[in-house]
Amino acid sequence: MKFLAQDKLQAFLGHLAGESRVVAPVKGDDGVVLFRPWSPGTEVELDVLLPKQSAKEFVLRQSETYLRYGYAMEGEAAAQVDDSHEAKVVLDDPAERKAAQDTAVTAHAALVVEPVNDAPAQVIFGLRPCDARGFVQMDNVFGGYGGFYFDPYYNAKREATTLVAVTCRDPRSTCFCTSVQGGPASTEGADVLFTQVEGGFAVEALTDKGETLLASAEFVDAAQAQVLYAETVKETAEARVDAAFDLEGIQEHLRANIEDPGWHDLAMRCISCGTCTYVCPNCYCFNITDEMVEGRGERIRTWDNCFNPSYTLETSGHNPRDTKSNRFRNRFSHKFWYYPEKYDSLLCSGCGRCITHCPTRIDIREVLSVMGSERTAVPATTGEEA
Amino acid sequence: MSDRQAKIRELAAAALAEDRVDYFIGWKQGINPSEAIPAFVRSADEVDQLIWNPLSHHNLTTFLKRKMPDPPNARIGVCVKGCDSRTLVALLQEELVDKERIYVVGVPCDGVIDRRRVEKEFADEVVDISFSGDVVTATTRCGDSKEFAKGDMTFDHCNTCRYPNPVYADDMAADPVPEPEDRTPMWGSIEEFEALSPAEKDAKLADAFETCIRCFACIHACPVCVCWDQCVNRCRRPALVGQRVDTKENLMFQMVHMFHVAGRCPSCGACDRACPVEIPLYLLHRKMNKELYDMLGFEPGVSLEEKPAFQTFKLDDPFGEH
Amino acid sequence: MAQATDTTQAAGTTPPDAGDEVKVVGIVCNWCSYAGADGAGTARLKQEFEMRLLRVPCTGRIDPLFAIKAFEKGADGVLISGCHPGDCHYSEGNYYARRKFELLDRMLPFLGVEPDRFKYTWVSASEGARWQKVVNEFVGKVKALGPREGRAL
Repeated sequence: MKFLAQDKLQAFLGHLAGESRVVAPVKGDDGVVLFRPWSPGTEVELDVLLPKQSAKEFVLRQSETYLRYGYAMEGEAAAQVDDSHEAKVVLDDPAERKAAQDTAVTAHAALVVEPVNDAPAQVIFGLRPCDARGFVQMDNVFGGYGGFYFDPYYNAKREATTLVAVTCRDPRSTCFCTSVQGGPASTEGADVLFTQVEGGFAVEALTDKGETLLASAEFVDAAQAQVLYAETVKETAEARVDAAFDLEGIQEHLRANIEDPGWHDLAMRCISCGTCTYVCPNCYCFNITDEMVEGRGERIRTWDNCFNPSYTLETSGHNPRDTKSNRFRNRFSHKFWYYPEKYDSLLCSGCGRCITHCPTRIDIREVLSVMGSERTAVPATTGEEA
Repeated sequence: MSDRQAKIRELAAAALAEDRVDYFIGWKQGINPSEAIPAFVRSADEVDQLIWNPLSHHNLTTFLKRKMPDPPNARIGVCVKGCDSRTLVALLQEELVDKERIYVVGVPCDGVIDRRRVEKEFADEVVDISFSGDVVTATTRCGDSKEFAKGDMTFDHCNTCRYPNPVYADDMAADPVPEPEDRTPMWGSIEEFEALSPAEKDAKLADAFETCIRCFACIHACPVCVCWDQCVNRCRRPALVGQRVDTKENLMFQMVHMFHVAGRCPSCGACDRACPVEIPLYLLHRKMNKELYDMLGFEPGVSLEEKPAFQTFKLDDPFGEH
Repeated sequence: MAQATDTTQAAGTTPPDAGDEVKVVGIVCNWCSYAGADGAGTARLKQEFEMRLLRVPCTGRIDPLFAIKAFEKGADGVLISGCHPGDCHYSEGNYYARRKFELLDRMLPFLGVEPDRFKYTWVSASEGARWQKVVNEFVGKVKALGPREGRAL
């Protein structure tokens, strides 16, 4: 185990910033703590336990450009699509291009497609173990089924990212990582784990990527007392996280309760926004759209969320989840029933952001305690809202 | 304060017992005593969960708007503060809520606490907020405790409120609190922003909207934003707002909200309080109301007989070239 | 480039690419201002060519968001013009619209857009000369401000 003195933190981050982008929790002028690109001299905010947003955005971008496209006159420089990038005519084959030309909106124009996948090296410093675990759970989806659904955009960024987690000192009352197989010092997903001890951080490398980071001169070997202190910090934090609900049989119960009218009662105060899913380190649903102006545009992937009234809306106009309570049910069932069924892991790391940021404080722990257990009394049906 | 709470419970219990409503919406304690959340009460013996204190900030009128009632034809009892009642009146003016299906309990209000302002006084989590006269005591999870003057912790728009008593209610939870004699609206902190240069305003707005995550909390928490699934912000054709989440598109997204509620929005602040990244939306909405007042002497949602500003006109409106 | 105010010269003699440093969007109603602009063109009244016209059925059709969208997408100025109050082809479209434009006019400076970059006015079908004056004055002011570099709008 290594030790980094508090006053060496800036030097260490500055060192990292020389080679890659550094992202860290930073307090804005308005007092809001968010993960932001860090620049030397900026204070890293570790006293506030969780930044408002998870670090998900830096790997699963809220808007990810897949490709740029446009129509170019035959023989004309394809670089017209975007001068800043070298454009690539994908349709080299004359026959294929002929077909594209025939369908092109502009006469005699060829379709020019330029794939985009920017993944600069970055270090995310100061995320909590729950946020780090979130990436592991998303890895299953974007690289899942033995790479069958391998997503080049997510994975390129994930590959280029080093996660430096910091052990939680004062878990909040909304934290429930220990109920979902995690903990305030969980190492899953992280490359390095920092633990705040007196005068600095006790630091352990967890992966080869992390090992490289610790090669920097700012680190010294940790004293025995510091190692012990770190252990105490971890244990104390662990003890401070309250048990929230029982995972035992939760999948089966959610399945059994799918038509339970209790969902209506729980969804009553939901305003059907998407805050919980957008602040969540695990939620990954997305939408793909073409943003096009005058025959050229970009295909982008943006976050979507299951509270969006047009989520799962089919072209026919039918929506299998057309009521608020249906969509509400989806979020919890996905995390604790469908996803675990596929990947044998949960889709929740217990950060509690969905509780603290929900405009009406809907509590996932309450929802799972009610709907994730056996329902005996069946109240009178409340009917269907539109 | 507590007599208003008792009266709310009493009125709610009566309405439920007499089957005048299917459910009653009030406020109850949240995860801990530091916050209040909306409560949905279905029977008279559950009314004891209802509370009233300066943390009861939610504008419950939101739960009356299109697609919110469950079932859609539910008869609903609802508690409103002064500002909430103005949003309700705005909805009633346009018949967006059926007057026959609602039972409104008006609660005179002394101003609600900006919990986030309290939160920022501590690094640790605030788990308890209690009141004694004009003193607010906040306690954190580790047991740290600080006292504040209530006036320092109430919302800006509460400090300049001209309608502390509901303008529309079927029953009142208490006698009206004294109202300011001068009804001229006050606009609070927007002057500071108005005084900036165009470039400074642009920079401030850009910094604020850069962090927007387009979660729709502002739009769905807004009681007078009613399009729901038909919102042009979700629409791909016309693509008025792009799906790309960046500063410009985010402000455009908010402009859609702002201009579409113009004339209905009394700047109750529900959008502002719902925003997970604390974008100061009230600045925009209050400025809009200020200009509406300067233009037309119009205040949204104060009278059932009035038409919303943009659904009517006068031949001699005092602006523009003639 | 020289201010194009000489009405005796034929329109369109300046190549459309030269000095095209600002983009101005004009949103006009079909019945009055578009016809007025047409009249100005027919009469060969020379106008600033930075103005790009968008025709809508009536000013009542114009959502303030159209102007905001134009600014967002890089317009340096937006001009809205329709029938004079009282002359609306649909009787009252411009009366409703007037309220919206006034609010927009008052909000835009708050959003970091200089007041000279937006204007709403009325030009009738017979007022070709007025159209020329409105366009030249407005575009002149926008040119004086130069291109916008807004980060927020």
